[in-house]
Amino acid sequence: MLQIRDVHKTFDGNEILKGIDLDIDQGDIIVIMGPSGSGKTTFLRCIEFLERADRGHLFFRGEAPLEADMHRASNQTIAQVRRRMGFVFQNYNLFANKTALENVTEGLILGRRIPRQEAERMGRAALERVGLADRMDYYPSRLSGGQQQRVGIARAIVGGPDVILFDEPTSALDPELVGEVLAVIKDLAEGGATMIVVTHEMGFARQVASRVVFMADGSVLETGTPEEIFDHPRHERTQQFLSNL
Amino acid sequence: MSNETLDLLIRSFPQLLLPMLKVTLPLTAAAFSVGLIIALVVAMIRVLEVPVLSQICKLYVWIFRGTPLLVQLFIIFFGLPAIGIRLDAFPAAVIAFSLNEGAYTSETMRAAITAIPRGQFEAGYTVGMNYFQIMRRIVLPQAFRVAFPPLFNELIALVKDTSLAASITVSEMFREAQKIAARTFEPFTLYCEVAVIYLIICTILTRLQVYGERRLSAHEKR
Ligand SMILES: Nc1ncnc2c1ncn2[C@@H]1O[C@H](COP(=O)(O)OP(=O)(O)O)[C@@H](O)[C@H]1O
Ligand SMILES: [Mg+2]
Repeated sequence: MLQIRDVHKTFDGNEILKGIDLDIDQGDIIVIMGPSGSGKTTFLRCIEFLERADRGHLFFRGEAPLEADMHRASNQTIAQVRRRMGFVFQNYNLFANKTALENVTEGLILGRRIPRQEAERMGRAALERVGLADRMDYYPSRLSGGQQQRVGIARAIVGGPDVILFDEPTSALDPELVGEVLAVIKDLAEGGATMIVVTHEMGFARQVASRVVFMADGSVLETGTPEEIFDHPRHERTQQFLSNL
Repeated sequence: MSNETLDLLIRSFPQLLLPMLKVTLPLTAAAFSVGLIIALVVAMIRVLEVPVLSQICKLYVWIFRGTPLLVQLFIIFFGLPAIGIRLDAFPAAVIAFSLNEGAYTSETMRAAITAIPRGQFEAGYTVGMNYFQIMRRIVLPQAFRVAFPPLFNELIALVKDTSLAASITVSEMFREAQKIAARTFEPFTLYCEVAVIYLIICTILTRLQVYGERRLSAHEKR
């Protein structure tokens, strides 16, 4: 459904991404792991056009095909790509001056020009989906980290994206709040959502990943099923990383 | 306190209150409003780093923050006629105070805007908003909360600074006090009375500031 080809990115003369390829099918849950600094965040940000790749292509296949040159894409193409993706940030990035519901509806109303009433109906449904029906009118400052991240997830799924990108969605959370967020992501996965999840939660990966991608130094070192990667890693880097988790 | 002094205080009070209400406060309100608009435009130009305009704005801020307000007033009222621009005292004062206020306030606003984390923009982009939508709906409202206390401090300073307009013949409260003092030979009484009136106005504004800040943060923590 989505093909990502040959993504390169250089920061200040350092090559951070050295040609990443990734194929995602409908319903796939791709878990990306790898040492800190290996370029996982940069990769997701390039796909979302928060960072401009030096090279790379994106192809959405299927009913509404869409191709984007990741280096040269126009604002219009970028908008089309973003419309088909949801993004969940490591540190939530909720709009501080908006309630939970407004956080979820703001993009629908302004970005997609969906009428307010319809947007609010969709926003409520998304917040119910992440178990926050009783927190719709709360400002982010009044929500726990776990609740904030669930609002972040509701905001990412409300437009019905083809793919949801998660950048370490639980690593900013207190340990006791990790579970509620992972449960929501699992629930979405079981509901057939397609996702790319950067995470170091091995238990989660074992349960839901269709494929695990191990990145190091800006390259994909190996990729396989959770069993293949966790139980029989082929590369020494992978073994070393997993034994330190 | 002698009876004459008390009598003078009471008789002069309306003669001071009237120019306060009719000149000092309108001058403050006009200069502050125009200053805010200038400041917002200048701050946006500088945040966006618009070529050429950004340099011009920098020059403007540098000049108006680097020279005394009194000198600015004199240049605009007494100086400009030399090059054929003749202004009445009140409009000259509004222009000088607005430009001065705009220069200071633009820095306050710029600081407030740049204090908003980049993640707020990025989140806006991921949900399909464009730069100006994010600015208007997400960043500026938050920046306003950040800027509210310093902006209010600038407003309070401006009320007091308008007394400088007396020196270019604007009939605001302080100039009226000078006139009465000259007539009655009671400068101590008159200037103390003026001080008390400024103090009362500023105290009221400070109360409003506290109230405003409380409302803004109440809104944030519902
Ligand atoms: N905006 C940036 N400017 C310069 N260097 C950056 C920037 N963003 C990331 N990097 C560098 O790119 C490398 C990869 O970072 P990142 O993608 O965040 O890794 P990961 O998410 O795998 O920990 C790091 O060395 C980081 O310092
Ligand atoms: Mg990262």
